[in-house]
Amino acid sequence: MTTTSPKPPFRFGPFLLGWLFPGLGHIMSGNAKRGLYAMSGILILFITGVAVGGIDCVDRKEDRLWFFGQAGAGPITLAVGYANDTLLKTGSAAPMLEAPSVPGGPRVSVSAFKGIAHANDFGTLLVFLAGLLNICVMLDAAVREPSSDAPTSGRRAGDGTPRPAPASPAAPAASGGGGGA
Amino acid sequence: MNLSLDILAEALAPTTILAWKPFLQPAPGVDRWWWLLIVPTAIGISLAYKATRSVELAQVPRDAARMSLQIIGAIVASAVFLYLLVIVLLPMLPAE
Repeated sequence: MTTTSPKPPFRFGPFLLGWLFPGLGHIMSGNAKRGLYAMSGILILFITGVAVGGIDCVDRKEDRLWFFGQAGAGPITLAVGYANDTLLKTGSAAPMLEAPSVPGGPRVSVSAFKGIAHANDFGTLLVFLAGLLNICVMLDAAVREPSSDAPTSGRRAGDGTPRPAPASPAAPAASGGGGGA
Repeated sequence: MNLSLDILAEALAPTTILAWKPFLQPAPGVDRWWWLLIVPTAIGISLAYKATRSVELAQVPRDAARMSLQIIGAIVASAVFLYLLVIVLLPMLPAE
């Protein structure tokens, strides 16, 4: 006979908190250390991506499909996208350069700080990975039992199975057969 | 190896670094050292994944380190295999 564990309830509070900042859903529901680990992993990806590709790696107009995944990392992605719109695309951070365009086509000018080639590729990809992983972390925060990482959770370390009952010292002798006399 | 170090040294030259505005513009010389990005990528993915999957929190750093090494090892093995296939094995085949 098999038993199935009840489906954990989906809690929207930690889910939304996890979107506001990576790991915040776990932290506010009592699993602080787990949240800090998740936050560290996602921020490593996010900060590396923005450092490598510059703020141009979040572009909701030119890289719209990428942006949908990147937005999973929450307002920090929106802030980088806003900085891209206000600093780079307006020319306030760097001069605008005329980009090559098709003959007879409209003239296109881009920021001198615009990311191209590998820099833009990997910056976009790393922030995208951060967004997708944060969605996984948000889902985990939504279904994880609050304060389940406390030492008194009643679970055995390592595999999550309940502690086995201590073995009786008489058991091996009884099964060993023999029966003397 | 020396070639790689030269490339890194050029990309990280003081004049290049001093002219760089971090986060505002792309990092200098990424086209030459982009392959090193596998390290922070593997670490970030492993840490976030193991933070949600590990039952015992004390094992998260060790599990994440092990998973990072597995990812990097698999990528390196793939690179070696493809190098041998494309650079060594395929040129040995007859042209026709």
